[in-house]
Amino acid sequence: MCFSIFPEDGVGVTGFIVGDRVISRAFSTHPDWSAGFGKHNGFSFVGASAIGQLHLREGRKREDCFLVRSKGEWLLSLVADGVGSARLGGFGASLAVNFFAEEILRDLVVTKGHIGDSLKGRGQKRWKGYGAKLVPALAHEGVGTLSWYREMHLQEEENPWSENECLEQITQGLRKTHDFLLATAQRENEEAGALATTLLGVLFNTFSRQGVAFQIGDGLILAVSENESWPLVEVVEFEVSETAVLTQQNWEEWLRWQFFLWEDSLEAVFLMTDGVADDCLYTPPEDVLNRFGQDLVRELTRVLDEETAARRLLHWLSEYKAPSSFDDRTLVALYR
Amino acid sequence: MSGFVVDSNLAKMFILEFWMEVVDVEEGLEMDVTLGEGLRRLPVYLLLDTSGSMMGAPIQAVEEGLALFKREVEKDTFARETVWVSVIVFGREVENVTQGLIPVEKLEIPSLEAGGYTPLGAALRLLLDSLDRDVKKAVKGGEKGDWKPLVFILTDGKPTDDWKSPRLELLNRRERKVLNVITVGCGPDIDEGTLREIAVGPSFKMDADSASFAAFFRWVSQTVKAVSQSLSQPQGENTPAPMPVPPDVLQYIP
Repeated sequence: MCFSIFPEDGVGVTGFIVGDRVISRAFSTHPDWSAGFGKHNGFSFVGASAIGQLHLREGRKREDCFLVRSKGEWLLSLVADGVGSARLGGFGASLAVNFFAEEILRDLVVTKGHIGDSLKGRGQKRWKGYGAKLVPALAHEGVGTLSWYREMHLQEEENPWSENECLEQITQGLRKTHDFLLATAQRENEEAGALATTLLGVLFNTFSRQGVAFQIGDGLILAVSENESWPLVEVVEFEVSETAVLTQQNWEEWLRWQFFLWEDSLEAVFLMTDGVADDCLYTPPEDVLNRFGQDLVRELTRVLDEETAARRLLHWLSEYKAPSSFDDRTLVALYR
Repeated sequence: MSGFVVDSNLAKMFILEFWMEVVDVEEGLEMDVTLGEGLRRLPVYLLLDTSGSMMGAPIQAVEEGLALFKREVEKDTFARETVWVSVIVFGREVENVTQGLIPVEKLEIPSLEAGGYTPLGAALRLLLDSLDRDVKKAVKGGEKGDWKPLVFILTDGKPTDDWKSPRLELLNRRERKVLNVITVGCGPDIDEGTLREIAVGPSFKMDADSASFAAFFRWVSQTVKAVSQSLSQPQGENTPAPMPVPPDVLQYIP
């Protein structure tokens, strides 16, 4: 398999950012509930992250993050779970998704194309205090950002980029992110593990429909076709309450990846942190994973626009009840 | 003037809630998604010495302590849902009085009788049996696994049976990071050296008066609550379970 890429001259390349930004260390800028959405070259995406019941009760902040970015025809989706025992896990997660995305996309070469002038109403919103039923006092504090990007008209051309090169690019990006997290911890006079975070991502080319999914730590990247749902990346069984993190020295041993082609039968790919994965990976019911995948596709696609889908997703993540499920919940969905 | 008074705050809350429901329906925010129904439990084992030397006030204090433990854990929303408990007594009888793990809300405080020797080894065997039988491991595509079991051993004397081999088995389990074991010796007959030999994890000693037992069981409840809400940790760090600072009556044995 190869990716269609071309040497970049930097002209006419554009991209968007939707999701969580780096948390301020001076004061909290991380919304408790956050959602984003958009459509890119025929592929829809929605992402949402909701603070868990435990963090709500303890007055802590959400420690999960998500980010969706594009560059040319590429779409990069990331979720991260700042490890609870780490002092600055949420900060680490926000650094990881933003730094890694920058590293990967900066060096990623895109197809030459031209940019049209038509305004396309795609946007992002972030709500603070959404989920008003949960915390009615915050209902009036909704804040949002709306962004519009000019529509890109890209020409598909052929130029092979091997899986090895792609994997090397990702590994290199992760390595730099690992180093960056450790250097940041040192600068903040914290231990290396203070910024411990998992990282799950999908880098996807919307032209060639080829992609690579990768994962360090717990959580799940789930692929869903008409009748079947399966983990796109091997699910590593950690001991309960333990996970691999990007800040540990041997993180490369825990890196799992899988290349994939988005065939017509594939309906959606979901990336989720363990707060959601734990609620769909284990029985009963017997076929819970497939039912979860099929239900989610149905519920997200029954509405016509991505904005409503994102609101529904965030509402659901904030409200659903499952036994012993108190963690932050984050999910990004890619679908057609 | 007759009539009834409407609480304005209550009315506002009612209107707000009603409005939220309307918004939900209008915007169609509700989603129907199948979720796993399995529960991740925190197994808690209490191994309680009921030998003859516990007769009188100490055994009474242990009973009261158990009741306090149940009350405290039940008060906590998250702990109440996740904590499953097993009580093993060792004295004249060696018995798992709960017949395995049961939800904390179903724990009936047993009437304890002190008598006999201190067969800690037999109690450890019952513990190992229950760990094998009752604690669920996470299975890919199968059941959700339980959290690491939390084991408290309370004893007031030297073991009188073969306790070394079951202790070794327990130790091996702990080295595979599947257990948190806390040993507490109580009363004047406790020998620190023996306690250190018995211990599989951190060990403490305390007096055998009712205030000490109450403080111990309150601390057990706090530890259980803390662990039931404990957060994930990086793989391989093998950090011990988060324990609240023990009360002054508990002296740490290094």
